[in-house]
Amino acid sequence: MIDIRPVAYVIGRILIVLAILMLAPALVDLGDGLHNGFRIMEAAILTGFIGLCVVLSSKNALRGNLSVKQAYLLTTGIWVLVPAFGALPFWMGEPHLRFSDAYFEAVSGITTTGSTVIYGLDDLPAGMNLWRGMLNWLGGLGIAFIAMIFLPLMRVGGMQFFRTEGFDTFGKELPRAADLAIELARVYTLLTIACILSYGLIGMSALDAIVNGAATIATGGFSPSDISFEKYSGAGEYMGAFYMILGSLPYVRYVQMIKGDARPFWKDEQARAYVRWLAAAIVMVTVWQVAHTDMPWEPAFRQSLFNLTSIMSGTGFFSGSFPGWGSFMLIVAFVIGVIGGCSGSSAGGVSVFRVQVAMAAIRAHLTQITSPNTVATVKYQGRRVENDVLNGLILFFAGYILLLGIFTVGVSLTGVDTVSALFAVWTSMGNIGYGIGPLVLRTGTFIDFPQGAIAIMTVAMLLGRLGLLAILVIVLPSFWRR
Amino acid sequence: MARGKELTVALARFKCCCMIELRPVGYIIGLLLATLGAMMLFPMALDYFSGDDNWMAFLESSVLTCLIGALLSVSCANSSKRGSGITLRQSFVLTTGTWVMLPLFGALPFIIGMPEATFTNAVFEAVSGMTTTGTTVFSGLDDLPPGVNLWRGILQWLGGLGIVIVALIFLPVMKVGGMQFFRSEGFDTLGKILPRALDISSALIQIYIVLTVACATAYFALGMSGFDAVVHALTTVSTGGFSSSDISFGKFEHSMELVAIVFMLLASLPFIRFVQMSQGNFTPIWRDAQVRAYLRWNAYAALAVTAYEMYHFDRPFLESIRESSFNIVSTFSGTGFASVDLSTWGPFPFVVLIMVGLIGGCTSSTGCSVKVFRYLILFEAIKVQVRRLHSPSAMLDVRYEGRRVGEDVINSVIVFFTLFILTFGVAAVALSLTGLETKTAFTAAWTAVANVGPAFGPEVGPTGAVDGFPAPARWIMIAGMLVGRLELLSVYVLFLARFWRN
Repeated sequence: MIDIRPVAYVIGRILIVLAILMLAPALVDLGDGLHNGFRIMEAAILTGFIGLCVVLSSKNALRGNLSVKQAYLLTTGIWVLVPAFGALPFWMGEPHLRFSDAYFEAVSGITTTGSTVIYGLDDLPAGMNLWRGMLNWLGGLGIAFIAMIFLPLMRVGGMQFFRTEGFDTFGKELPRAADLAIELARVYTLLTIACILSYGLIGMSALDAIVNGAATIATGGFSPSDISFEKYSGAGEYMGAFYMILGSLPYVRYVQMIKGDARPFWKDEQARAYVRWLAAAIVMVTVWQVAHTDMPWEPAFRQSLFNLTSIMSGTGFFSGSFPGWGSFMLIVAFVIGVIGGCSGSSAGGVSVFRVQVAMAAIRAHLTQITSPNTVATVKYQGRRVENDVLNGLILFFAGYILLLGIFTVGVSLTGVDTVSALFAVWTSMGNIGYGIGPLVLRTGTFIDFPQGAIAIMTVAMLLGRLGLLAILVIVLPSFWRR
Repeated sequence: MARGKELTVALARFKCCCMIELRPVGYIIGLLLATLGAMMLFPMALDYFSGDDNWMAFLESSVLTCLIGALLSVSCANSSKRGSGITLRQSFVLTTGTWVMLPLFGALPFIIGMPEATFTNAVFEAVSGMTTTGTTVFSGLDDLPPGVNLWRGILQWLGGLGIVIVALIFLPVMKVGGMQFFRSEGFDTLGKILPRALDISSALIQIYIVLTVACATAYFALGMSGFDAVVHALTTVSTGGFSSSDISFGKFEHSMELVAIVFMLLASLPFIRFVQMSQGNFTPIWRDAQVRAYLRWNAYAALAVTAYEMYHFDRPFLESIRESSFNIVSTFSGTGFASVDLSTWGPFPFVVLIMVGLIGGCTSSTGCSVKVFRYLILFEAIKVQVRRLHSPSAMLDVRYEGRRVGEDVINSVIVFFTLFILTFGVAAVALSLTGLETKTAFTAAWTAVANVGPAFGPEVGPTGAVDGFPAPARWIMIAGMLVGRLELLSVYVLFLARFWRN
């Protein structure tokens, strides 16, 4: 019933871009004299060819704007299909993964999760690590687009609250979505370059700096090393934490800042709450660790700063002995991981915005109960939150928790122990990428998980990334009816 | 004279800043305390006739409780004008006050009679009883004086009865967690509360007693000792879960488990349907969407666990279906009996147990947790919300049992669910702060907030007793149990400054 040709056309274009981008890792590997470069080249040609075919066959249908249904189909289509081609290099090239594993790796990249099934990253050809970093980076840019431009229009999970913000406040300055997109891409690129340079300054090799830089700003978390940031312990951790926080703040504020207005940035309630909550978690965990072990202050603070930032921003880098810090850290990590970063950034999770509004709604509800005659309105950032926004938003929260439970049942059904199963779903749905649990501990990767669990985690990553409803909507039969 | 005047002025001022008239609440709580004191005479008699010295403890507590209860109600009696009922705010204070005060006095027999039980443990046991949770801090239950075990059973029985009455009469009016949806079935307005409340309560009490007697008879007929039959019937029908033995249902023959399954299921169905049944109207209970969903989900969970057990451990079908359905029903209804060591069950059944514990029984039953009704509304609301996304102009209503669900009910349900998860999370964080292992902290928060009963983890004793937990952890669990039992919101409003102002 829905004309899918315009959707196919856009996806085809994206595939062609993806194919061109694949040439970069191919050239790197060829430059190193590795045979692997040819494999990536093959993958690029295949992707480009299919992309071209799709574009040519659906070109005639392109006119006017996309309808709402087409927009849903497009977002979901991009995040489901692009990784299938992004996975080709892992499948045809060096680690020669099974296709399901390669798809997991690519989805993990594009959704900026950062969970990996490749062990022995340090020995991987440079091109493959570069490709992982690029997947992260593209995914981060893509979701920032979607979150700022598409989701508010599609009214997913209360995002329509930002509708006016994205367009109206800019009003005359940035009248069209395309302009906004260009600004966004510019900010994103600038941040990435700054991050890469900083990493270079503290002594990372060129490849490490580029891959880590791309993965940091995207809050992705793919690292070119099995020991992640433990390799750059010290200054690297502070630097990493700084850029991870930058990557998980609402991008719209950066755009405004570039336009010369820094005030909204400092006044942003979401950003402030995010930093405040993160700081509280870091202080608590540091104090707990220092009190319970004989760890000195500095490494305890540094590790909890880096790791908790990595978890809350949904990045997934780790450093030091942090994953083994015990019960209190685990539960704090779980909570802040579910909360996640700010909406309108590339971070994952429920998002600070939704948690804040849910809490405001609870407060209003309590008032309403005690004095039934007053009308309690929910306000956010001085603006009234309408009822439909509110419902969509809290339902998102409820749906998130429900799916977390259901997926945990599913993963544990494949024989994974309870803690590993719960945290595997947590890390996937929140697009975090941080591995916790006995099954992860051996390698720090998800290599020991059974195939069924990997499949469930792949689905969970996609759902978590697109705000759940965007995908669920397409599963409904009524979507396809007229 | 001058002092008397000063006192009057001070009192008047006190009444000004605290706008809620607390005397009617004090009056009712006083009466309830006196009743509680009278109930203590049953275990006293049992201990006296079985020649246990512990009967003195019950006598002392009984006298003390009755005395204080009588004093309280006499001193507050002058304020309650007959027929005026109580206001909305008073009912909030009343529900929470009841569940805080009664366990304090219910703990007296443990404090006086068992020198080895600390104050914390005694209060924990009494709260766990009155909230029908069933987590215990006592080990060596088989060697306790029979009166103590009977008292534990009675506490749960009273707690179960109390919560059914609260759920049917108070919560709909208090609009807690979407319960206003059931308003028309219970009561329309506050004014009419008392006369009809008394009707309904007496019908409820009759049904509750009939169920208990039937359960005890069934246990006895199948070979439990008279004492065990009574204690277990009291805790089965209240979905409480206290047992008079350390190994819970492991002590008895397997046929007992079948009886327990039937009565645990009955106790977690909406009691309003039983009232209708006793009036000869059998259709509503078969038509009830909640009842159907509850039974269906129980069956799914039990079958899934059975299949897993048979596949992975090569267990015979009958054994595994009996075991899994007993333990699933026990957790689903929030009872908390165990017939096997659940921690040996493997990861999948364990996660299923946690999930069903988070669902809980039906509304207006003795069951606990979020309740089936709220999940049904939640699913429906999510479905409608998703549909609205792609067809924004369609008029879509959330419906439950064919009735349209109002926006305010949906809101309350969602807020309740969110708050439940938040409370659960906060409790887990707090418990892990006291030094408990992750799994222990997680399951202890689960068992407390959802009023289930068992906790899992290395700190839990071999008999399932949680006396090895640090004292702060036990107090956190006490708070969790109370908040969970009273449907969160009715407790949280008391912490609003607004609530106490005009």
